[in-house]
This record gives sequence, structure tokens and C-alpha cells, in this order.
Amino acid sequence: MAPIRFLLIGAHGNFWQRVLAQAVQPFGSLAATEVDDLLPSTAAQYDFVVVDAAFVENVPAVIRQVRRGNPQARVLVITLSPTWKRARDALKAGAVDYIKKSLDVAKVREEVQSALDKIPPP
Amino acid sequence: MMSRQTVLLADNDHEYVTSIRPFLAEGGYRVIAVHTPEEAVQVLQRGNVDLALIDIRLRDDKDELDRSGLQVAHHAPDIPKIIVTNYPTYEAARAALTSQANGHAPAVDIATKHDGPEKLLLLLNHISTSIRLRALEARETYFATVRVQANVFFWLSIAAAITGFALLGFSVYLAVANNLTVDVMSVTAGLVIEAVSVLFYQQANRANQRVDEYQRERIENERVKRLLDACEEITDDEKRNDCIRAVIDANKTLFSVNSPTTNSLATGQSTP
Repeated sequence: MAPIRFLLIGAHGNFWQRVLAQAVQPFGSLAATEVDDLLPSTAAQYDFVVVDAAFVENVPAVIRQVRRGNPQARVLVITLSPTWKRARDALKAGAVDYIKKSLDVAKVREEVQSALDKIPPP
Repeated sequence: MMSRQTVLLADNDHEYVTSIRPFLAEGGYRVIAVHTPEEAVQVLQRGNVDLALIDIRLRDDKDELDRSGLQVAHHAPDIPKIIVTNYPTYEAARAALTSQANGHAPAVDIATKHDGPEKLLLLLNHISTSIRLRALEARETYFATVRVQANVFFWLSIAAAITGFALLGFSVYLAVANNLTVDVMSVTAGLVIEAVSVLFYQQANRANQRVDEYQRERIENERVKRLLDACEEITDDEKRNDCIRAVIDANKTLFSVNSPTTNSLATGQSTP
């Protein structure tokens, strides 16, 4: 299987980015960008986009932007403080899942694997 | 105007069903109410509902682990379902809206009972609108075929008209050449072919009218779809709902359902 290209949208170079980088290592490589630097063409270069809700003001809009650029991309939203409304908005916007942030590499890897098994919504 | 849509309302809380049912009926929906997972599955499998509202704790409201409503929602994946709950959590939203192994999510939306019937009706109207837009897109291939048929009929009518005209001209020539003795056979054949040409032309015309009607409907629906997409971009819940309500109300002729806003304006009554 070809290595998967992951993109993290959130703060660049923080601790959680390192956790995610370790978690996705068996599947492929991770790049990161801040939401302000996200170009319409960026999404096309990645297979799997992780949106860190702590650093993105309008998560559904970013999900839609990513999906417009690459309808096949899986988008996973991670957050420290999940709510049902934000989960609903993110999933309706086209995210494959909406999960609680964890510093446990194994748990994050499990979530990524689970998201990889899901088919992106149409 | 299209026919009324049928909604399955599955909830073991009889009081809730009694309170919401008239509101949905007033909104233009035919309601089938059931109170157990088994009844809900039966109705879904019969396939005579367009949408479903399913309580997540369909078996036992007191049981925090009861997800029987979600299990019901796995049946009939083609019918859009809204999961309704008194206890919204992000885990419930995930369970309802993330796709499963078959590529389908159990539900298309999740709502809380605390939001009241007006919001629920708005959700139903929005989903109902999306279903009709998708149905219209699905007819695209059929109407492309109709357009081809119209072209074929048109050219057949032209060919028949020319052939008929040539035969009639030949009959006149023969009549002139034979001291005005009319060849009845060739005249009749010419007239019959002209009549066939008219029939082909009428068929082409009818097919073109159908395609034009479809195109007009498609353009109109495309406009509504773009407006609804624009509403979805609004982050504020209230403003987004107002926007969706306004779009659906303003394009009422396209949809069978009546929103509570317009009903109350029309009758001068306040919505319950």
C-alpha cells in the first residue's frame, strides 16, 4: 500500500503534532499547516487531513474547503472539549470522524486506523 | 405541487409522540407513529416512508446504554433518518453520523427534543428538500435520452415530409404526363407519409416540451441548492436556521411541505 500523506491543520510544531506524527508513522508521513496558510490547492496533495479544532475557528468551513479541494480526502476532527453540536456540524460538513484529543500515541493510532477504514461521505 | 411525504416517528415516549405528531401533520407530512424498535423496523422494511425520526433510546428511556434507535436506523439505508434524543452527547452524534462498514451512516442528522417541534420540522423540510434535489439530479440521464429521442423524431419527421412531398410531386408529374390521370396509389402513399411526418413532429415537440420543463425545474432547483449551501456556511445556529427557513419558505411551490412560519402568517395564528 502506498504511504498515506497526512496533513495537520492547527498550530505548527506543538506537542500534540509530535504525538500525531508518531501515531501516523506506520501509515505514512505528516505535514502541518496553520489554517491561515491553507490554500485551496493544498488539500489535493493529501489523503488524510486532521483538523485541530482548538486552532480553527470555523471547523465546518475548513472541512468543506478541504473536501472541495479533494473530495476523496478523509477529514478527522480532534478536540479537547467535544460537544454534540460541534460533532454534528463537523460530521455533516463531511468529516469521517470527530474525536477527543489524546496524548496516548497508541490510542491516537487506533483512531486514525478506524478513520482510515471509513469511507468518506459523498 | 408534489405529494405529501410520509414520516416514520419512532419513540417510546407516547406523550412526545402525541405532542409532535399534529405539528408534523400541520407541516404537511403524513405521520406513521410507532413505539417499539420492532414496529419501527417493520415500517422501514415495508419501504413506504420517505423520512424517519427515531428516538435513540427507543427501548428504554431510563437506560443510558440503550442505543436501540441506532440499531433500527441501520435498516433501510436509503431512507434518510434523524436521530432524536433527550440526552445529546458527542458520542451519540458520532454513532449516528459516522459511516459504517457499508459506507452508510445510520442517520443524516441528530436533533435534541429540547429544541422543540419547530426546529425539528425545519430539519425535516431541509432534508426533504435535499432528497428532491437529488432525485431531480438522478433524472438527468433519463432526460438526456428524451432529448436524443426528440432529435430522432424531428429528423424522421423532416425525412418523412421530404419523402411525402417528393411522392406527391411525382404523382402530379405523372398526372400531367398521363393527360391528368391521377395515380391514386402514389397520391395516397404521399399523403400517408406526410401524415406520419406530422406525427413524428408532434412526438418531437412533446419530448422537447418535457425536456424544457425539466430544464426549467432543474435550473430553479439548482438555485435553491446554492442558496441552501450558502445557508450551511453560516456559523451561528439561529441565523443558519433562519436562512434555511427563508429559502424553503420562499420556494414553497417546489416542495410539498408547509413550514410553520408560512402557516402562521397565512392564518394569523402563532406557531405552537
